[in-house]
Amino acid sequence: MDTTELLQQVVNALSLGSIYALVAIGLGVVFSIARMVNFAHGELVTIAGYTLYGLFGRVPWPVAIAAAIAVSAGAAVIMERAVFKRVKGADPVALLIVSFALSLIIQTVLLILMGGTAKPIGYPSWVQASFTIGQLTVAWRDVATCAVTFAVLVSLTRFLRRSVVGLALRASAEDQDVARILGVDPRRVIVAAFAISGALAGLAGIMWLANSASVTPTSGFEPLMNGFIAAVLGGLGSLTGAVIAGLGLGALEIVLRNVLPDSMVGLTDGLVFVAIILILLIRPQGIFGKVGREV
Amino acid sequence: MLVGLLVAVGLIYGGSGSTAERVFILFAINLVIAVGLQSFMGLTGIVSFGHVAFMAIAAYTAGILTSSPLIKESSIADAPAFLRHAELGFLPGTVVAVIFTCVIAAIVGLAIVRLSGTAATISTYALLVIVGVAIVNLPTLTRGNQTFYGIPGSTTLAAAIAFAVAAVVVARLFQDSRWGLLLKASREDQLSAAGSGVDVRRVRFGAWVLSIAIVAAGGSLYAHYVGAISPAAFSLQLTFVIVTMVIIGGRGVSGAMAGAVIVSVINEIMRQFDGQISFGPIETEFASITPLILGAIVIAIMVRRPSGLLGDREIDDLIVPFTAKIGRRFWLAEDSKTEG
Repeated sequence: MDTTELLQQVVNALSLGSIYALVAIGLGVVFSIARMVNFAHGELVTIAGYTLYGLFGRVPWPVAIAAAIAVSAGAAVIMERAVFKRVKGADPVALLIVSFALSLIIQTVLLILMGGTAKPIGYPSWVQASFTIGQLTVAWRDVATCAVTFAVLVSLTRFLRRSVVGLALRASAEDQDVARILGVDPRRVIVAAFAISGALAGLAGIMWLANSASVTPTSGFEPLMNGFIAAVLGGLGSLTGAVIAGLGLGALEIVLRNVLPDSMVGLTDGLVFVAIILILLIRPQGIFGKVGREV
Repeated sequence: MLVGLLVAVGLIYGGSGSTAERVFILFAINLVIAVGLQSFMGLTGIVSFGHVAFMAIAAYTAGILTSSPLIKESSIADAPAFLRHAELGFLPGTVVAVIFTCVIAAIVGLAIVRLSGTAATISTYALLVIVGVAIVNLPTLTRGNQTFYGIPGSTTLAAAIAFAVAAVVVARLFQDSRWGLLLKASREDQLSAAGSGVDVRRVRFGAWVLSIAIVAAGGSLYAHYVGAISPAAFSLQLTFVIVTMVIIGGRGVSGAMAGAVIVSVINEIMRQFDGQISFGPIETEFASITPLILGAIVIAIMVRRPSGLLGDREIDDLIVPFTAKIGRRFWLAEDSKTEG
């Protein structure tokens, strides 16, 4: 593989990895605050997709994108208020199952409302266009993905470090009871956490679906699985871990896709999951996770 | 104690007509898998998404061993000769399949039992994916993505009932045994149990292998009922259905039975409504709403009774006090009249 192709793949890996990282962070935020793994997170991606399907072409594209993010954030909050709140305090396994059941419910509802056929999403034309540097062809959407993710990460980190809400979130993630004693309202914190995770999922969805430019009720499954893997491997409570694991996973996928012969393409998944089991054996809390957190 | 449970199983299988028979056989197969899964999940408290993978391994193994060489000549022509020429009976084939699956389970189990909680659940899901990938990527043995056909339909109603009863008995014996007790202790409080000398890994390993043995038997039963299997059959969807049965019903063997009954009934009801339903402009097949209903029920159960409908109780725990109460009323009526 010559340098151009290599660079091409690096761009692919960065782009893919960024999306996984966003999903992973979203899952991590909810896990840190609400102590649960939200299997329905993938559905937020799908919801964003359908929002785009409905709005692209009818409103200016920035509005559509903003709306999609807002809708996912809202949907996440609704999930929390309507369902997760009622199962409070149950063990993490029960919450996982509830979120899994919820994801199936949402998928079925979407199937009923929108039908099972893929709906095309009319992304603005510049998304699918590409430009060339020398012999390298880069798609604008990959550039956008990397740039946006980077921007989001920077602002998220600043938000968590500098703002009051961010501080409250970090405090609750660290030790919820003490935070409560110090005056942090747990309800607000949880709502904020879900809203942020929803927004991140929406954003990830917008970029993920740009590849296929279509959406089905089960579109959210693949990003969820990959993001989930990245979150677990990187450590569920750790922002850095999620990012590194997400990028790593994206890189791994691209590498395997290029290295393995075509007939063995499905093998990529298998190998990735074997790696997961091994990593979990060595470090069940994930590479950057803190020991003692019940994962 | 066991009698109460067996009677319940026996009573249920009273009738049979041809469509009813189909329903019962499917129910029995689901029951075996559910009881198997419950033997692990109920006792360890760990949700496993991976048991269906072992159902698949056993189904393929048994199917390959029992189908006629004539069919295999064309379907899996490149498979090793001893597999192509093999034609075992249903029971020997099942036994071999179960043993083979258990060996794999044992190897994998060494790793799984070292994990707890979410990490374990994720790893079991990983197993499901890995096995699925393995099946697809070994087309010389399994016909890959395509259907592996020609498995003899050895699963009669009698066979299904026998397997179901056996599964229930084995599971029940296991849970009531000392091994089961140690598991329940470690489920409730892992640290204390370990502190009291329970080798948590060892007991979990036992539950893992045993539960998979049961599930494997169910897998062979399934293969010999449908006659043709493919990787798509052993999916996350099926996993969810089985897990739902265990969760809805509760942590005991009776719970798994109750869960299997409820889910099977719901499935059948949804299928009976053949037509479409419509909410205004929206139309859809009634049957595809099933996941929604199951999901809603799971959530409802988790909110109200997180231990499932029956919790830890078994049928005999419920029946004995019940019959005792009736007995008392009946025999002591005279006394209570004079009292009152």
